[in-house]
Amino acid sequence: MTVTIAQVLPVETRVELEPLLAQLNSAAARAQPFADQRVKFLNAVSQHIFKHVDGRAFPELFALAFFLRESAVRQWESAYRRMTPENAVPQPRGLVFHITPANVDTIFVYSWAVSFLCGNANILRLSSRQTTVMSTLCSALKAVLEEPEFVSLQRSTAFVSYGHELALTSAISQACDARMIWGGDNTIRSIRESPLSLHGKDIVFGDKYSLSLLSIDAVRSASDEACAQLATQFFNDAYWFDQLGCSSPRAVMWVGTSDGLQAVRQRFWSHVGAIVAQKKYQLDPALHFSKMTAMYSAAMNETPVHPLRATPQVSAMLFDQLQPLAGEHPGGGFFLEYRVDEPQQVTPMIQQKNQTITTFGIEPNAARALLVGVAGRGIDRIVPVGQALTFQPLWDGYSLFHELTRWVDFRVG
Amino acid sequence: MSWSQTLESLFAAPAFGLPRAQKEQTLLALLGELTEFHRTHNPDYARLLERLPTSGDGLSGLPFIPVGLFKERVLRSVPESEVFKTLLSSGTTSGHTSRVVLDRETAQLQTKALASIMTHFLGPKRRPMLIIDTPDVIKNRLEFSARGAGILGMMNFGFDALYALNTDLTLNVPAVEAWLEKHRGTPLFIFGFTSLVWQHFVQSVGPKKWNLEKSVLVHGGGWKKLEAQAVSPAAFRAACVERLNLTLVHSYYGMVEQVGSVYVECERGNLHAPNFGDVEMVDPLTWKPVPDGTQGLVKVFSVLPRSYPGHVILTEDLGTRFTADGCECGRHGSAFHIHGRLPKAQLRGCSDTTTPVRVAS
Repeated sequence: MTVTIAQVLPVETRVELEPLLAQLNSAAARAQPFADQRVKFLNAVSQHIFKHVDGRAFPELFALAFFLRESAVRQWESAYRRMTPENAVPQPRGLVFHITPANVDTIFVYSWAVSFLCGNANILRLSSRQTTVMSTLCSALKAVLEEPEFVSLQRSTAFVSYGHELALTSAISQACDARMIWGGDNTIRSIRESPLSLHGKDIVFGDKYSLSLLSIDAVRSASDEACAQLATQFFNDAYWFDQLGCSSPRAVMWVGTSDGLQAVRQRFWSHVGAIVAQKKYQLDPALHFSKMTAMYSAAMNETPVHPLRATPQVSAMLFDQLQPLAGEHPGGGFFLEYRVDEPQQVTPMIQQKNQTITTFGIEPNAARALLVGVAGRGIDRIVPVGQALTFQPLWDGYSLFHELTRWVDFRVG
Repeated sequence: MSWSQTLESLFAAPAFGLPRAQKEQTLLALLGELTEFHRTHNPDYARLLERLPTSGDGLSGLPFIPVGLFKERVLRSVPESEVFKTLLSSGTTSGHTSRVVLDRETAQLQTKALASIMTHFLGPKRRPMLIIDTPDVIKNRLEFSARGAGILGMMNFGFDALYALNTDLTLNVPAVEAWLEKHRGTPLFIFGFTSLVWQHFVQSVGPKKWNLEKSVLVHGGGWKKLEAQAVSPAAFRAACVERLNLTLVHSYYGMVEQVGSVYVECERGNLHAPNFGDVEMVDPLTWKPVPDGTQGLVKVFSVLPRSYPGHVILTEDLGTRFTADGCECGRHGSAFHIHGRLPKAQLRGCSDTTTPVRVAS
C-alpha cells in the first residue's frame, strides 16, 4: 500500500510520500548557502506582502516582510561569511523537517525562510488549524513560486498537512537531516517518539518564559512622553499573544531601592492601561476569568503580595519574596512583580526555560553581570523593551544559520 | 434577632414568598455575618479580603470568590475533624475538580433548603420516584460526585425509587413499565440530568407509549451537551408533552460549589432564586453589575455555606436576569435565564497546550 500525504504547497494535491522525499533529497532540491536565486525569491515574497497586504490589519506580516528583504538578508549573509574560516566551505545541511506551532501563525515562514536561505530542501508540516495570516502567507509564497524566474524552486519545498499520524512523522524523520521542532515541550515529546535518521539532529523550541527588568529610577524620572513610549513598547511585547508567547514578559523585576516604588508602579501600569485602551486590545472574557482566578489564588497565599488592578486588561501583583517563574501562567495581562536592588540579584530566579529578558534603564554592565552569574543555566536574549517578539536568527540559544549549514574543511590547492 | 433566628425566618416564610426589599435586607445581614465568620476562621479568605477588597453597597459590594478557585485549593473554615462530607464537581473540561467540604450543620442546611424548594413544586407528600440514571452513579459514600449528590439529595422527596437506566445507560424498559403499572394513577416524581433524560428517556420512548400526566419532571445540570445538539429548552418541553404527555417540567440550575444554590424553572420558563439566596449579573470584563435585561456573568449568593466561604461566588456562566422581583408566575425573587458557559478562549502562544491557572505556590 503506497503511503500518501496531503500537500499544500507548491501545489495543493495528494502525493505519494516516498517519491516526494526522494525528490526533496536530490541535489536539484538544494543550493549553495545564500544562493542569489533564493535571496531574490525571498525579496520578491517581501515585495508581494508589501503590495497585497494591509499592514495595519496585519503588522506581523509587515514585520516578516522586513525580515525577508534583500537588504536585510545580505546583512545576515555578511555576518555569516565574516565568521566563516578561510578553509571552510559552507554547504546546506540537507533536507530539513519543520514542525510548526498552531498558535503563532508567522513562525512557520521564519523557520522555513532561514533554512531555505541555507540552501536546504524543506518539508514543513503545517498546523491543521489554518488562520488568515497563514493562508495569506501560503498564497504569497505560491504566487511568487509561479513566476518564471522562481519556478525551479518549487522542487525545493513541500508544505504538508496531516494529523497525529506517527507513521508519516517517522517516515519523514528517517529521511531528513535535521528537525526544527516548534510548539513546546509536549510537541517535542510527541515528535521524538519518531526516531530521527542516525546522522540527523533536532533543533527544539520548548516551553519558555520571559521577563522584563525595569529601573525604578528611570521610570520615575521619565517624562510623560517617554513613559507613554515605554508603555507602548511594553504593550507590543506583552499583549501580542495575550501574554502567552515564549517571549512575552510574565514578570516585571523592579530594579532599585524600594522608596517610592508604589508610586512608580501606579504610574507605569496606568500608562500601560492607557495604551491598551488606545490600541483597543480585546481581552477574551474567559481568559480574563482565568487570569483573575490566578490573581485571587495568589492573593490567598501566605507569602505577602500587593495586588494592583489598573484595568480589566492590566493586573499586576508585587511579591515580597523572589521565586522562580513557574511554568503555568494564565496570560491575559497578569504581571508578577518583584523588586531587587541590582539585576544580579535576579540570578537565583533564572531557570533553563527563561528565554528573554527585556530591559529599560538598566546599565549594560549590570545586565552583563546578571548573565555571567546565570552561567548559561537559562537566558537566550537580553534586549530592550519593545524587541521581545522580534524574531532573529539567533533564537533560543541557537545560531540558526550555523545549525542549518555545514562547513566542509577544504584545503585543496 | 440572632443568626439562627434570622436564618429560620427565611425558611419559615413561604417558598418564593418574600418581597424583595425585606429579603434583601435579611440576606445582606446574614451574608455580612458569614463574611465576618469566614474572615476570622479562614486565613486564606482573610488574606483575600485584605488584599483584594471590594467596594459598593448592597449585595454587589460583598466580597466574592471566582468559581475556578475551588479547583485550585480546598477552602475550609472549620477544623478538619468537623468535615462531614466532601463534594466534587463533575470535572468536565480541564480535568481539574472542585472540592467543597461540608460540616454537619452545612449539610443539614442544604437538605433543609432543598426540601423547602422541592415541596413547593412537588407538594408535601413523597411521590414514587423514577431516577433517570444508573444505580452505579452512587459509588463512594465519602466523596460524592455532583450527579450522585444531586440524586441522593432528591431522594428525600420520593419513595420506592427506581433507577430507569442500565449500566450502559440504555433504558430498562421492562423494569420501568412494571414500576409504572405498580404506581398507576399516582402522580410521580421523575428526576435526572438533562442530557440523560433527553437522550435515554424522552428520545428512547416511543411516542404516547407512557402517559405521565400530573407527574413532575425535574432535570438539570446538562444543558451544555444539548446546546451542542441544538436542543432548546422549548424543544425539550415540547417533546416531553408530545411523547409522554408530561407538562410539569422544571429544569434547575445549581452548582456543587455553592450549597443552597438551587434555582428551579417556573411555568414561564424562568429560573427563580429561593428565599435564602439570590443572583446578580455582572459585566464579563469589569465584573461590575449590569442592569436587568442585559447578559452578564452570573454571581450567586447563598446564606447557607458555613463550613467554607462559598456564600458569594462568581461563576463562569452567562445569564440574564429579567427582574429582581416580579415574574408573571407570581413568585417573588430574582427571575433569570442561563445561556451557557463562557466560551473557552482560543489560546495564543508557542505551546500547543491549554494553560492552567496557578502561578505561584
